[in-house]
Amino acid sequence: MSATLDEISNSKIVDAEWNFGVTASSSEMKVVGTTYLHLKLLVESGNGTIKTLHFEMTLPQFYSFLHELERAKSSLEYLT
Amino acid sequence: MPLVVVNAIEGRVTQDGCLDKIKRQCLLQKGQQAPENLDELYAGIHTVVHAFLRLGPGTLKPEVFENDLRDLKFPEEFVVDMVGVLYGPKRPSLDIALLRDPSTPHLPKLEKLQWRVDVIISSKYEILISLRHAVAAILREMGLLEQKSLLKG
Repeated sequence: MSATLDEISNSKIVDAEWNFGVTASSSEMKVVGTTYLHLKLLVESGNGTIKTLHFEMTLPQFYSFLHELERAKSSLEYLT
Repeated sequence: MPLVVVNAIEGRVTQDGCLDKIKRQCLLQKGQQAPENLDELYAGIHTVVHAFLRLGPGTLKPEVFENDLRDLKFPEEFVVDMVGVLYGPKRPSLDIALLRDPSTPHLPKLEKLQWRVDVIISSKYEILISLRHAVAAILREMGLLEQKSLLKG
C-alpha cells in the first residue's frame, strides 16, 4: 500500500465507483457469507495517464478508512 | 569410476552451478590426478542418464539397458551402478528434479484455482429495492420520534 502512495502523490482522483456486496459462494469456506466493499478509484497522474486503483475491504476496514478520510478532511479545513 | 557415476547423477539432481567444484573434490578424494577426459566422461554419463530418463519408467527393461551399456563398452561395475541407481529408489526424485528444471519443455498445467461468487447489494448508480425500503422505514421512524419529542418538550 505504501508503494502505491508514492505512485499517486502527484495524482488526483478523477472518478470513484463503489459497490457493496455479500460473498454468496467461494472455494474458501470462511469467506462465504461475509460482506465486502469494493472501491474503484480513477486516478490521473501528472502526465495525464489514467490509472484505476482497486480496493476491497471488510466493514471494519471501511470504517477505519472513513475515519481516516474524515481526519484528512478536518485537517484540510483547519489549514485552509 | 563409480565415484564419477554417483557424482554425475547427483549433479543431475542438485543442479549445482559449479560442476568444477565437484570434480575437484573428486580429484582430492582419489588422491591422484583424475583422468584428463573427466569432463567428457561426465558429459557422456549425463547424456546416457538424460536419454534414459526421457523414456519414462517401465519402457526400457533392465536387461536390455544393461546389454546396451556393455555394447557401448562401459565397464561392468559401471553397468551395475547405473542399473542400481536408475531402477532404484532414487528414480522418482530424479524425475521430479527434471520436472522442476526450467529448461525441460512441458505444457502449462493448472496448479490452483480459487473462486468467489458475490452478490452486489448496492452500488454507486443503483440502490436495490430492499435497501430503499430499509432507508424509508428508518426515516419514517425518525420522523415519528421527532414528533414525539416535540410534543413532550
